[in-house]
Parts: sequence; C-alpha cells; structure tokens
Amino acid sequence: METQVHTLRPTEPRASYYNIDPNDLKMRAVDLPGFTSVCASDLFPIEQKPVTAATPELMRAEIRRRTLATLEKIDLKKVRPGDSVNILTSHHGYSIFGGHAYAEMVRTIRDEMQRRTGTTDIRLRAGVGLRFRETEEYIAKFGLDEYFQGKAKGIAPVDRGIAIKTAIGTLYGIAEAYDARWIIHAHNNDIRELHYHRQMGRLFKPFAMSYATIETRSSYHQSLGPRSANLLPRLIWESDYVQKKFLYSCFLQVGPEGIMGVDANEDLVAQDKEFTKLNLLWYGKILTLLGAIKNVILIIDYPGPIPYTVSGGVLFGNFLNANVDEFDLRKLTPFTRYSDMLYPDQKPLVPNVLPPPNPAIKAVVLNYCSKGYPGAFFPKMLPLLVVGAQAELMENDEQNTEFMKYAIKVDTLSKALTFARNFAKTDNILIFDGAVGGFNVSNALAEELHRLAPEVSARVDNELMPMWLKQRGIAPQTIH
Amino acid sequence: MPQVNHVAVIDYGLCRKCPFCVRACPTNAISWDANRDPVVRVEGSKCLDCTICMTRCPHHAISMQARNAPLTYGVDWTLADPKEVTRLCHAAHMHPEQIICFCRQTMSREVAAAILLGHRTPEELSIATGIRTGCGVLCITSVLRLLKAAGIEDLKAPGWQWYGTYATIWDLPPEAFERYPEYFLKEDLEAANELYPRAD
Repeated sequence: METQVHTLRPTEPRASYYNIDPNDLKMRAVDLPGFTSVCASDLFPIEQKPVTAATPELMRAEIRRRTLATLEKIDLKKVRPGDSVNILTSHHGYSIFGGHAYAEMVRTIRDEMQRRTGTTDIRLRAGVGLRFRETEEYIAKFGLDEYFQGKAKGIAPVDRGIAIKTAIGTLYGIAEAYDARWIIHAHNNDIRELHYHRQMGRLFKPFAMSYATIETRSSYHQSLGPRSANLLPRLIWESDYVQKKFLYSCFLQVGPEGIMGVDANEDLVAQDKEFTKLNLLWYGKILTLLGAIKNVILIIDYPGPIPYTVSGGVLFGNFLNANVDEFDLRKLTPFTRYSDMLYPDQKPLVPNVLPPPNPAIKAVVLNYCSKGYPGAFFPKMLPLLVVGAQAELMENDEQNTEFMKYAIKVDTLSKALTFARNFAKTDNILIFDGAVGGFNVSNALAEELHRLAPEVSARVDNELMPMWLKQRGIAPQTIH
Repeated sequence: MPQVNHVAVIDYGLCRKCPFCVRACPTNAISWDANRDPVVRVEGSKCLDCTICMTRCPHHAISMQARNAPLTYGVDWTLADPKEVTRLCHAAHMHPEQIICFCRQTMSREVAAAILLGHRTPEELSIATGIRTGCGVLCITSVLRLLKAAGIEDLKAPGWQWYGTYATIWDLPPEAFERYPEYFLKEDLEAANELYPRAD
C-alpha cells in the first residue's frame, strides 16, 4: 500500500465575525508531523469525474459553461421584461470548497435570466442558518451586491414572515425571499446534514430552513420527528403560493471528490430523485467506511460550526452518527435535535431507545471552528480539548453558554494532540479541515482506511445499496 | 443562576431609527417611540446578550458592550408546584428535564415553572428563563407548546419573531399519513410516543 507524502490543503481561514482572527490561528493540523492524505477516488473510484481546472479563473469559466449548458433546457418564456425574479440561495453554498463555484453559478443564473428574458429586476436573496451576518459576509466577499446592481440581500429567520398555506396548515416563509413574481431555487446537493434530511427530500430542505421563519424551522427541529420533519419543506414547496412563483431549481453538484457539475430542472421532485441516487452512490461507501473505524481522535480545523466541519466531503455531524447507518430510514440516529433534547446529562432521559454518539470517537481536538451553532451536546458527550484563542471564542458564544464548562482549554495544538493521544490510546487521527477530494489523516488511519475499503465497497454494493434504494422507492437497476 | 455580561448599545450616529432591531429582539428589550428622544432605546434589564439585534441591524449601529455588573436570569423551578410542573410538561409532550433551548440549556421544567409563576408570553418567558436568547430560532415551538398546554392560547402574535402557527407530529391530519408514507410519519409518531411523555 502506498500513501501520499504530501497532504491536501485545508480550507483557508476566514476573516469573519464568527471566527477568531486568522492571525490567531497558530497552526493547521495538517502541518503536524505524521500526517498524509487519502483521496476519495483511491478508496472508491466512481465513473463521474470532478470538475477540475488549472487556475481559479478557468474553474469559474468551467462552472459558467456548465451552468449555461444546463440552463438551456429551462423554459423561461413565461418571464416577461420587467418581471421581478428572486434567486434564492443559502449560506452553505458560498462555503463549499471556498464558495467560488457556487457564486459563479449564481452569477450565471442572473446573467442568463437577463439575456433571455430582458428583465433586469433580478435580486439575490441569501438565506442563513443561525449566523445572521454570514451571507452578508459572503455577498461582500464575492462582490455580489455590485454584480446584482444593489439588489443582493441577506435574509434571516427573524425577519418579517409571509403566510404560506400548506396541506397541514399555515407555515411562514421569509417575506423577502418571496417578494418577487418569480423565484429560482439555487442550491447544492452535498450530503451535509444527513442526520436531519436522511436523504429524503434533501433538495427541498431550504424551503423549511433558509427561506423560512423561526416557527417553521423550530417545527422541523423540535416538534415533528427526525424523519417526518422532512415533510415540511416538501409541503411548502408544493403550496399554491410557492408553485405560482417557482421557475426552476439549479444545483451545484458536489461529491466527496469535489465539484461534480451543475444541474437545473423545472421539476424538483424528479431532480430530488436523481440526486438521491447520486448521493447514495457518491457518499454511501465513504460514510460506511467511516462507520467501520473503531478508534479515532478527531481534529476540527475548519472555518464553520463544529457539526458542519468537513473531511472527505462529509461532516463531523455525520461522523458523530457513523456508528449507525444514517441512510437506513428504519433507524434513529444518535445526534439530531430530537435526541439532543433528551440529554440533560451524559445519559439520555429515555434508556435503550437512542444509540449513543459514535463510540469510536475517543477524543476531539478543536483547533479552529466558527461560533454560532448551539453545540453543548458535543463536549458533554465527548472528551473535547479546545486550543488557544478558539477557547475564548467559544466562551463568548451566545449560542454556547455552557460549552466551555465541559471542554478543556489547552495552549497549543501540539500539546492538545499529545494529551489526546495519551488517553485515547490510538494513532488513528482524522482531520476535519475541508480538504478537497479526500481526507487528511495520520499514517495509521490511512492504512486502516485502505485496508477497510474493499470490504466496505462489497457490503454497500451487495447489501446496503439495494436496501437504501428500496426504502426510497427507487429501482436498483436505475443505478449505474 | 446564569448570568450575562454584555448588553446591546446603540450608536446613535449610525442608527436610522428603522424598527428592525425592535422586531428582532426576543425579549422586547428594544423599543421605538417617535415622540421621545432617542426614538430607539434599549432597556438593559431585559437584554440577555443574544446579539440578534446586532447581527440584523442593517446599519451596523448596535454593538454588545460589557456591563458594569452581570445580569442574572433564570427561574428556580422548585418555586412552582412540582406536580403541576410535571403535568404541564407532560401535557406538552415533554420530559421535565428535557433541554428545549440548546443555546442556554434551558429545561422544559424551568419554562413550565415560569408559566405557573405568572409569565404569560414568549417574551416574558425569555426574560425570565433565558430561553430563545441564543440562536433565537430553534425553541419557539416548544415555548408555544408549553403555553398552549397551560391553556394560554389567546396570545397576540407580534409577527417577525413568531406568528403562532406551527406543526407538531401529534397534530398532523390523518390524510397526511396516508398521502406521504415515504416521510415515515407513522413511524415517527410511534417513536415520539416512545421518547416523549403522552399528553394524558
């Protein structure tokens, strides 16, 4: 077995209200001795290759070309000159592999709308998660307000709502998301919060999140159920109100190997089914492989909130649940807001129903992440060390008032890892640093991943994939 | 009892007197009155440092600044009748020790006790217990469910912050179960009844 001698580069630190000053990030985990990279394509080769280009400019040109190509099939005849159009986007797209591909897809959608319809009243509406300034920061970073001629705006769930009558009653969207004659749903397919969407209607989710006000989001997270919550965005999208405005959706295709392409469709139901197949193909083996690791130390080193930090295209949140097959819809998973609620302490209020967080995680070292996501569950449940200035950020996080009461502060990354190694008693280390196309890992874990991959591949092909497809009403023969 | 050490402060050189912060504040700590100067004002005793006003102000006119002395908040749930607290939580399908505000780690029994002690609106409950003063998003339906379980349903929704309409697994119409079997509604209702107390 051969491992690489160099490592994939981590996502660059981000100057943001939600992060420590990049100058205070003293060391990236990948620069510690004894680390290497494992490419997703080496573990599980797939037919479709990621989009690559020699320079960022050429990458942008390639994304533009692919966006224009997929938009050719979209019928825009009903849009008249003077009609208003809102392009609905979400924060996460602007963070995927630096965000440039998503931003270029959005710019191209705008340009093509103006070219083909003559309308110039094209607005950008950028939704957020729980960090209300985040998309404003991205709008500035990518110069989108200038590009949209002063019509780019960050929207948040505490903004004014608009009533949307659905099959189960009135829910509320953010008024400014829907304040145009037409809307375009511009999003991304990556697996991201599998613990929430469970790959059931994943492409609909922003209709109950980024484009929705607080009660609808709260219903999703606290008052429906860990699977059934995904009905909410579907119902909002199906409502007469949204259907009268909906033009098409356009998705940046993302997989563990990187940006895979761009896909537009006027039929979100059909597009969701296609992406369900693709996500099972692209992520099924990677996630199953992570679930096969028995002992590991995790290092978080990415400019996003803890559960959204990325390795090999999947999240820390996915790894926290990797002891359970999250694609198997029969199962409840350890970390969702529905289970999180039941842990006032280390033991759940209801015994023997919820699986525990992935017991393979022996320690977590938090070198770098964003504030602005309630995550007291993590240090409560896992031995968690926080490095340097990052500890101060967490101490002053209004969404994590209890976090540092359970975590340990350590001066440097090296010291934290030494300490973690001593009590975790494993040389397997996995870094969540957003590297594109694979994992940055310790040499020991690299060997382990390569050793486990063939067996995982066979198990997914022969046993799990047919079950995942069947649960989602998809015929196995449609998968290639 | 928990404390906060910061308070929202308005820079009147930047403030344009728009009501955005007033609408965004979960504790009604910010008020707007055209007949006074300044028009927009922060009542420090109600500000629990959620930062929502600061991060939604279109003009970047609000900052969080250190308090002279910490502000203590929280409700001692034992001051209410423990049996009534439990009854109210169960009526809302909650365990008394269930975490319903992930940011402040507020338990349902604290909010139930606050209701029994006379707090009647989401805003009053936020000031008393700290709930809804972190992310400001995830826990509103749990607050509304507890208020409804206490028989308080005639609230005037302020808009923006909340509108008073939401969905729960226990209230879904039967036709939804038949029409959308692929969303595991039946299975989640069974799971909910196993994980959370029944209303009766």
